Amino acid sequence: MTSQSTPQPGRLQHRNTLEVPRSSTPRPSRDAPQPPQLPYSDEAILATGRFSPGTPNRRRGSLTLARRTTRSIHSELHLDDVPQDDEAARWAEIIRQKRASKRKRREEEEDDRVLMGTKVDQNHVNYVTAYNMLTGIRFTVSRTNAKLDRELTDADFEARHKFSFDVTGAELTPSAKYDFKFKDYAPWVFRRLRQNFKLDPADYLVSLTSKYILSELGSPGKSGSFFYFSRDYKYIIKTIHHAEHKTLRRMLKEYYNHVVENPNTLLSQFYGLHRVKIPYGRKIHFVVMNNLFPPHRDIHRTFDLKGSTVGRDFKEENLKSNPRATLKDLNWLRRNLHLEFGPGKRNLFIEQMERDVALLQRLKIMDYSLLVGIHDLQRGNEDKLRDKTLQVFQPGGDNAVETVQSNTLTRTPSKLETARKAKELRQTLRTEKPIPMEQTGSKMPDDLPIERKDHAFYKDDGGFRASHEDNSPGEVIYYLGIIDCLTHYGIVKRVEHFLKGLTNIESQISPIPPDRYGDRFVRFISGITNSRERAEQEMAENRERVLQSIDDPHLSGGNMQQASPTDAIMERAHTEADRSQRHGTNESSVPDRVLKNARGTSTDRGEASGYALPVVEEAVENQSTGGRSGRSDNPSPSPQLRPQPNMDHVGKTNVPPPTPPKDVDSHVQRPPTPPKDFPVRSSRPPTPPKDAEKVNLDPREKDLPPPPPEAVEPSSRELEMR
Amino acid sequence: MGTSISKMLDKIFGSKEMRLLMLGLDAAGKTTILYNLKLEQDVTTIPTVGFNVETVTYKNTKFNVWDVGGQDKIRPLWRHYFSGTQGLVFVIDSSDRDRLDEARTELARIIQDREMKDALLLVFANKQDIPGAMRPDELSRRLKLDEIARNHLWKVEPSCATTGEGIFEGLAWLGNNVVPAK
Repeated sequence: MTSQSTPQPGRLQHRNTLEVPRSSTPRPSRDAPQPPQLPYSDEAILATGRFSPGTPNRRRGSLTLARRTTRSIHSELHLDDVPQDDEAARWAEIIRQKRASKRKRREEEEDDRVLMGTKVDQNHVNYVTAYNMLTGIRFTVSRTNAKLDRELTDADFEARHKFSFDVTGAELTPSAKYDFKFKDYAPWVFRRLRQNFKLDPADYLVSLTSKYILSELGSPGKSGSFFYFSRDYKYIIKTIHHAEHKTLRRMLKEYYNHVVENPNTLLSQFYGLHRVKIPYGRKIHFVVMNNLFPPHRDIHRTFDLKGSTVGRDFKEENLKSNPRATLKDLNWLRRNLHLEFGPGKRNLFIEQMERDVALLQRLKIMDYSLLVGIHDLQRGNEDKLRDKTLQVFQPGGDNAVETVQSNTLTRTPSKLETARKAKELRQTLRTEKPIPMEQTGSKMPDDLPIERKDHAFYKDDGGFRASHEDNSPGEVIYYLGIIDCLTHYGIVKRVEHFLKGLTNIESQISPIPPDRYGDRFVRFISGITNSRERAEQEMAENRERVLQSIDDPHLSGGNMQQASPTDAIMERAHTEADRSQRHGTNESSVPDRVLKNARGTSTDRGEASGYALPVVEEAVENQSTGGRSGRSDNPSPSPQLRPQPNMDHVGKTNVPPPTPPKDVDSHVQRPPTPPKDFPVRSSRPPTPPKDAEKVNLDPREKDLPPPPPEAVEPSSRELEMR
Repeated sequence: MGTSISKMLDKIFGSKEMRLLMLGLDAAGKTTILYNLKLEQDVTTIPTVGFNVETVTYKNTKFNVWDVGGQDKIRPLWRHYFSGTQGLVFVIDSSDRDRLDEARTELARIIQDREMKDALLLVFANKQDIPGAMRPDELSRRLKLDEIARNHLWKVEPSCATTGEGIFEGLAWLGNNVVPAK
């Protein structure tokens, strides 16, 4: 049966004996009807056609290959006297092949680019890690995907499989460039999750793993969390801490059920949980999840909202150096922004958020935030960020990036903020000089990705479009999601916070128990969700009502004419912050101090504010002052009693989140300010001027609405942040 | 460590190991072939988005067969399985004349990859049970195997995955021609 040649010696002979006959036979055109088939059993005749000539020369390479083809044809032509037509056809074919390969090479080069961020290619420090991650993902996902679908069992949630990869490959693992171990968690559950999130399995595999290219946006080292984006910007690979890893595994079943029951969930969509380890290296846990932001739309402003004010400010003056930074709650309030949804969308959004937060509360998770990306339809994609045909941000502008990064790092030292920090870096990297990508528009889907079409909040061009009071479409698109939802409020967290409370009173983080965290979160987000019309209306017509609800009725409303709903929320945020601080620390302080404190602040204000108080901010100030003084009016100086009503309040808020004004009401009736925040206040007097300065810088940021002329107002906020 | 010991034993007892990669256009019958090899029966399959891998021992040779999905979207993933492959099994739906050019292009791309330079090429002319299916000689001509695979040892084997016809014959050819891995 085997007519194969032995390589070297018989080369020419073989070529002639085996190839000549075939090349001289007329080659049927592709469309022409086939000549009658030879009987299948006729082995003898088939034999020649069925075996390779066994060409000896194994040296190959695309260029030499084409050459050799040419050469061999020449020789064949002379030997075989092939008809002219056939020769021409062959030449044409060769030329076509050459062109095609050239085209292909060009396509491949363009294909190698990433849409955004720093490309992780062979030269990158993290290339090996990225390679291992992608190899592992490809292997484990492919492995599970190929099997017939089946129902999940309880064991699937606990399942984990370990594989080791090496250069030679093993019986069940393909060979890989590097040695590493890979662990895959609950593959069937994540397969189902991806299905549930409407991901196309092929698309998932190919966009993540077809090439060893990722873009990295994040700071290695201190921040701990790495962010990698798939080349098409659809998926995020995020390294997580072991604790987060454990949280996800623990919550997986409830998360899965929640996602199945809530197809429109705003929670991060988890597509995979894995671990990679190189020999003698540390274990790296990571998740694959959705990227909220679309590849085809500029995000003009990004916010990360938690509903608290402590440390929730991005210094406005830093915006100049880092215009795409992720801003926080206080920046949001300062701009008097709203999630502008008319009644229909508002209800949809808030209901879903409540359900999602309820799950997180049940799972004892806190410190999550609402990521808000805003795309202004009027500005469209015309900004420098990206133009319609897409631009790529090539690595290279390292210096600029470095400095921005170091800024960010020093600014937010808190461990809990690492993930957010990385997110900000994602933005900072966009400041790199964009290089337009030619002809690659086709690569980016003009349509939104199919997996988003069915999702209530991701179907308006990948996001959720603002709407007016009459539910007509608005001018911006929001890209919304609840992110960083893997922080468990466990014993470690509590102890850590307790210790921090002892050593560092002005701790920037204020982890509060998940129930209260969730309530505060929902209340804040609901409070800032309002159509533009309604927000204005509330500001104008219902001023009185708002004011009354914000403030203790006993207080004179004289100065509060300017109050806006935002102020109310702000005020709430303040009190919440107070509460969280109090909670985190020893509650042994004295009530007297509260009084003193209140007095102290008002005095400060008086001094600093001078003659002209800012319109908007004034209201805030007055409210807060009023609130505090109102509390001090309350005849309940005994500290033991104080916690009691407090708990009451918490209980109240567990009920469906109240509408903002009502809610404010309950706040105001709250007992006096906790003693805890007292020390913060007391440290305050020397600082105001500095704060004032900071705030005065605001107007220079062109994107901002004119900031309050006075320095004093924000200072109180700044204070609390400290 | 364990594998090296077993490899040594294999050498002593004369058994061979061979790593095969089975590729081809979607719906060519790769997964059916794999499970016919493994289970010697016809199984229901779904389009493979990913891979199946099975180990089959036949005539003293242990075949480690990787069957990787062939939908055009995921073909870019094929090359990640090339490394270490000693034999390429390319499966063709012999009744699908319309996509033969596509199959040839894909085959050329695979077999000419540097990582596949030492691999044997076995082409299964599958679905021979369908009337009008191309016969092996026609297939080899139309695939221009003498051209695209001229640096490889190749064979076209007629097969019918559902009945198992021709499959072990193909495997036997691979087993007889494999150069033991160093």
